[in-house]
Amino acid sequence: MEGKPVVEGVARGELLVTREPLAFFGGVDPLTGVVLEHGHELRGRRLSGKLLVLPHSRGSTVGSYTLLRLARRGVAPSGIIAQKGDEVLVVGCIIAGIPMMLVPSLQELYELGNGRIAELRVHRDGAVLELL
Amino acid sequence: MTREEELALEGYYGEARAIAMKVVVKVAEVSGAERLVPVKHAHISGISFKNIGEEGLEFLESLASKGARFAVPTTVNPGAFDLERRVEMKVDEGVVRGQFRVLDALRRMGAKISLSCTPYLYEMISFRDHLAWSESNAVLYANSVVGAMTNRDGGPLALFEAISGRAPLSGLHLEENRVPSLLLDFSGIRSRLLESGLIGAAGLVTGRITGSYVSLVRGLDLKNEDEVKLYLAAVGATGSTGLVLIEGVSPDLKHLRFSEHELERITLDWSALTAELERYSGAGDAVAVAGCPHMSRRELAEILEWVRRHGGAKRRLVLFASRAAVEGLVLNEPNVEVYADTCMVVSDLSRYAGRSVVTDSGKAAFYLASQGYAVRLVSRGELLKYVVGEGG
Repeated sequence: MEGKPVVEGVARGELLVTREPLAFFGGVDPLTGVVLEHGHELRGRRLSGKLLVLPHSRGSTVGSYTLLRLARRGVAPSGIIAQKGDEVLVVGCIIAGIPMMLVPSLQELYELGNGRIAELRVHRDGAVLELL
Repeated sequence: MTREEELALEGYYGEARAIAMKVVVKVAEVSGAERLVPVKHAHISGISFKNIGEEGLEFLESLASKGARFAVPTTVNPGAFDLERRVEMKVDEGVVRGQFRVLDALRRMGAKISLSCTPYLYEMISFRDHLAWSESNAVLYANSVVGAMTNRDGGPLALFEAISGRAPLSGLHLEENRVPSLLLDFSGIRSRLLESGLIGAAGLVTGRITGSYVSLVRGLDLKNEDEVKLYLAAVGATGSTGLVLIEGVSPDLKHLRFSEHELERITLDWSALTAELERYSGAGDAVAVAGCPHMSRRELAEILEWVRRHGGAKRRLVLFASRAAVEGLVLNEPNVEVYADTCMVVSDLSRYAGRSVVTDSGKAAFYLASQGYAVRLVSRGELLKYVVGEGG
């Protein structure tokens, strides 16, 4: 699956897929990477080492710093695949060094669901997600 | 990109400037901006140590150590406590140390440690200046009252825009995106609204209706810049827009070309306001809090004078203002406390004022209620009467 490159790098991990936007600030524990947001379908799940698939983020722009905090503690998602490159995700992934790509539709990934191992490769001129 | 921007991106001006330029360019690409625009001033929010944590602090310190310097005059939003009154505010030592290190890193990069959410009262900004501002009330004021151009940036983006001196040329930086699509008409309740003084509630209603769109607002009487900022702050709490065109206030209206009959017209009636007030009907014994946005010097002086003339405060009144507004003012009124450098939303208000408050600020009502406080929203007049013991 091909996408638009946002932050370069290579990441491997289990797919963790949500259809719901996620508030990183307040919604994810910055020390452990566990989703805390009330009513979110990922509540209780760990983002650590996952290839996180989500439509976009929501909430406070301090969320960019939350991504940085997760990365510094080694509990960040290994890569992010989003539909919309909102400011929190773009700024957060750059300063945290999390590879990120954008795809026009997440339908295929929604159907695939959680648990598949994949590799995300983001280069200057292209980005690809490959199931392993 | 200009040659200078390319050089910055390639690291010619150092590592920190390259990171900043990379962030701004990526945000520009993703938002579809065709190019970047030089900005004249930046205002950075999200600097509370409690929110950015040890890692955010280390990141700011590493930027400063790598030689990051703000390319334009840069101010900062309120932090977690009043720098001179942290004992009364019962702040943890760890937070104090962390916050001082954050401020030191920002100072090393060249920021003016203004710790105020009303930079528009103190900074020289003019019509059609491009700015890189975060903090919603400041963005709304700069666009709607001054006619400057800024998006409603997040704190981290504004930081990188300040270092690079550039913002993506998109959104409200472009004339065509400043044209209204809605007309919100308060004319039918104009005199009742003026009489009631419910500016905060009017702002919350406006924000809910306007959402991310630009609205033309009619029939709203705001006496001075202090009332305008109270209104706009509330708009920014319930709405995600960065611009409201208020008749009689917004300079854009003399400038923009649009035809009014193409706007979707929404007529406000009184029930919209009462619905808003019902959300914030609060609890019994409450501390009066005001100064969201930060009070101007004039407002502060007026309030202190009014309270004095009416026999002094019988109930506790907690006010928030910029350091610049407080400096030199004599503050010895019993039961009245004035804090600077911080505000009721970013400090831990419950530690020094309890969890039950009455306020005239729509923005504070919105955020404090979402943090679990019991909040009652009233007009400025009612708030002051409550403080001196007249009425409930």
